[in-house]
Amino acid sequence: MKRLVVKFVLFVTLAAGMLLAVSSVCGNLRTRVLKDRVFVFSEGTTTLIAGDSHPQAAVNPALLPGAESICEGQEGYFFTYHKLKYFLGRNPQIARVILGFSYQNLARRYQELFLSSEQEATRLLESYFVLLDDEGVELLRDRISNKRPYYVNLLKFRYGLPIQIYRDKDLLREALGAALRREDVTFFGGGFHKSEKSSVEGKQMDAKVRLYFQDEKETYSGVSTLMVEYLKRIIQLCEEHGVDLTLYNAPLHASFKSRIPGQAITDFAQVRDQLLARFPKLHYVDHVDESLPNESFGDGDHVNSLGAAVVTGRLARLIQLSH
Amino acid sequence: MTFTSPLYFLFWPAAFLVFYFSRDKYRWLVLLLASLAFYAALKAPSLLIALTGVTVLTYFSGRGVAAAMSPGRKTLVFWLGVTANLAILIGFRYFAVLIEGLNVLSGAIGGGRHVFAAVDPISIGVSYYSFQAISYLVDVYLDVEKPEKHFGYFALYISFFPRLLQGPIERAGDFLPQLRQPYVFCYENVRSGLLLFAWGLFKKVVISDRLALFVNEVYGNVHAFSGLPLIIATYFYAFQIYCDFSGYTDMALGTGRIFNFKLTQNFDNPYRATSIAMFWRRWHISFSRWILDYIFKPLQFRFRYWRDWGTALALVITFLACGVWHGATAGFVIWGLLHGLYMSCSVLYRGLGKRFRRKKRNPTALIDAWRVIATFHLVCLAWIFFRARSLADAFYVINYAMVGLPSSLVRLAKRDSLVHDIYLNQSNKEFFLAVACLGLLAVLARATTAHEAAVRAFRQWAPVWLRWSAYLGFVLAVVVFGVFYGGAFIYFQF
Repeated sequence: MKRLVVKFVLFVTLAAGMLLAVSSVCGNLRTRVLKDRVFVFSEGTTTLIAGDSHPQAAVNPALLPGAESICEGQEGYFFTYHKLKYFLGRNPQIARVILGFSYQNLARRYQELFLSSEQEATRLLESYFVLLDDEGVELLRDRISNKRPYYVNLLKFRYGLPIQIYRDKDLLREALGAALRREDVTFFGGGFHKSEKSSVEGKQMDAKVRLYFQDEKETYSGVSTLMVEYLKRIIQLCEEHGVDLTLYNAPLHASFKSRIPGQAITDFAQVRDQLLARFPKLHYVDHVDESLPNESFGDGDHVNSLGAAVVTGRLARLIQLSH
Repeated sequence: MTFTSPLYFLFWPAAFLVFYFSRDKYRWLVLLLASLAFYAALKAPSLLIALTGVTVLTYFSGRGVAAAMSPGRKTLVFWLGVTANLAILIGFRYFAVLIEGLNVLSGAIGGGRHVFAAVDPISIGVSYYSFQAISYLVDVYLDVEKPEKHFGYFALYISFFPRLLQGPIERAGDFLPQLRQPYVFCYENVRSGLLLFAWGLFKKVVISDRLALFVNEVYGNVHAFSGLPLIIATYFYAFQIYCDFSGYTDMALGTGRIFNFKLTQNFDNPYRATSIAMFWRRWHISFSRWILDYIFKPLQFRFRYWRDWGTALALVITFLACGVWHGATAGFVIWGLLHGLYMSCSVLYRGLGKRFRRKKRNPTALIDAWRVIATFHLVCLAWIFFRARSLADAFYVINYAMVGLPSSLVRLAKRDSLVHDIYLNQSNKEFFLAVACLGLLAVLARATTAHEAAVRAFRQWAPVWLRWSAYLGFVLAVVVFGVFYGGAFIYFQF
């Protein structure tokens, strides 16, 4: 027994020591990645476009002087807040943020899916956990229903454990001394979504409306208080950095909008009015009912490159007018 | 608590230390309490009630069978015991399905109103210890075993934690005598038990859960795929379920060995079987033996006058029951039926096979390889029904795996759809890792025994520093390549 205990303790100590050493190296690499110049935009970049796939498809930064898009599909305000906090910290020249603000951005079921669905939590936490502040981590710990993705990401991003490190392109490039590219960083976002495709189908729109607004019992799920809370934090964050914030409601196909539950539109308007009343410096641009031909829509709730060219032009003019 | 939960890595060393420092006469109590704590950690009080019910009912039924003065009374007590166990098993396995069915019916009649509250269908482990209890009763009834007088020993036989959740299903004659032997600490047992546990963990966390990423992607939405991806996902599922279940078994056997218990090996390289009959002698061995002894043999005896046709019918009924045991869904029933039909065909065409073998005294390696491939594909065909979410999905997979194959090969030749058709929407790194893992499995896991022989040889040949480096490398490999999300053991649901 003595032999077993000695060997067991020795092995556990060696294994722990090895993991600590590897974790320390990984943690160091991760810190270096976050300090990389890839996150610093040029001096001329003064506008950031942030949010989910709606602004990603609608606002073409190439047509908006000094703009850069950091949008990513299905990104809720909880994650956008942490992302903006990081990017604004690294880019003091940013003077304006255009943030996607559409009906689905406040829909409770869709936006809080990552708290209840393990699959969603796994996907989103892997991309954004590195950016979360202590409060964000605590919120996840308290509210996420399946704790496994939380603990795995905590061990990986806070304590540097090399869990599935082969997937982290940014870390591997940093370790090899190669220059970091935007596409290597999971949270950076895909930038402008360029697509000429156009397919506006009723069935697809029904499925999306169900996904965005309905719960398991197929009733409207209400407003996400978590997303409203983090939207307020984004507004405050922009104020703290002296950044002009514009909430942007991207165009929807009329047929798609008609499918959205009336209560969701009412709730959205209520939140918007409250925010505009509370934060007088906040801007709101509504392109949701913009008249665009069918060919300008990629699908029911996203414009394609054709539509983006039109609405970005209109958005640019509005911004110019406001200054 | 499961074998892969972090808590288990504190639980078993603590249990082992208390077990080691206890006196021999109290060791059963330590293990029994540990087993109950292990089961209680699932946070389902109804499961503890079921375990207690099976234990108490079977213990007293066994004593009753042995003490019965007349054959009629003996039979009556025996059947009461078996029926009570079956009632608990059916209650836990199918009550939720029954309630759901009644709710659908009442909803249709009563305009969507559900009469019964939905029931949480948790039944982890129930079927394994119920089957074990039934096998004990049969053995006592047939005078193969004497009834166990010590209630504590008997309770531990039913609830021993390493095999409580997913088997193997132990025979009383194999397990109970081990409880009576005084405990002697054996360093070799602990060491090899730990290595076996580690190998099982690797199979589950690194191989099975990695393959699950691909399988879930395809089988979660089969209509988005056709041709090659459906075939790859089905092959991957065959190895996913094997690594999942045999990984669990290795962990169970490893834990048992640490406490000086030898549990039944459940797998013996099943995908190298040259026939379906051989496959069932190598897959879930303890369960196969159980259905052979307690369902097939009595049925075969009953149908004995129909000769081969009787045997074939007994096989179909046995495997149909096996399918229903897995779940009351059409997919499981067809899976069981397919295996029953495979086995029946092998019985009915036995003569043909004999004639062929007589002509070809020494079957070449090529013929053997062909038989392995054919058997593997028959098993895979049945796995489609086992895995698909619905019958419609299963038929879609079978149909479009063939129909869509030429077009997916054309797409592949143009390198248009590598990510969709080969990597199944995962990264190429994950795909090549999965393939590498299967290669490693083929090299290392011919069977647990072969794996152990390889470890023994490595131990004799390699110096300490190399062995320890390999073990530390193994720990690092599990951390780096492990898939730690989700991944409940597949057979928990049964």
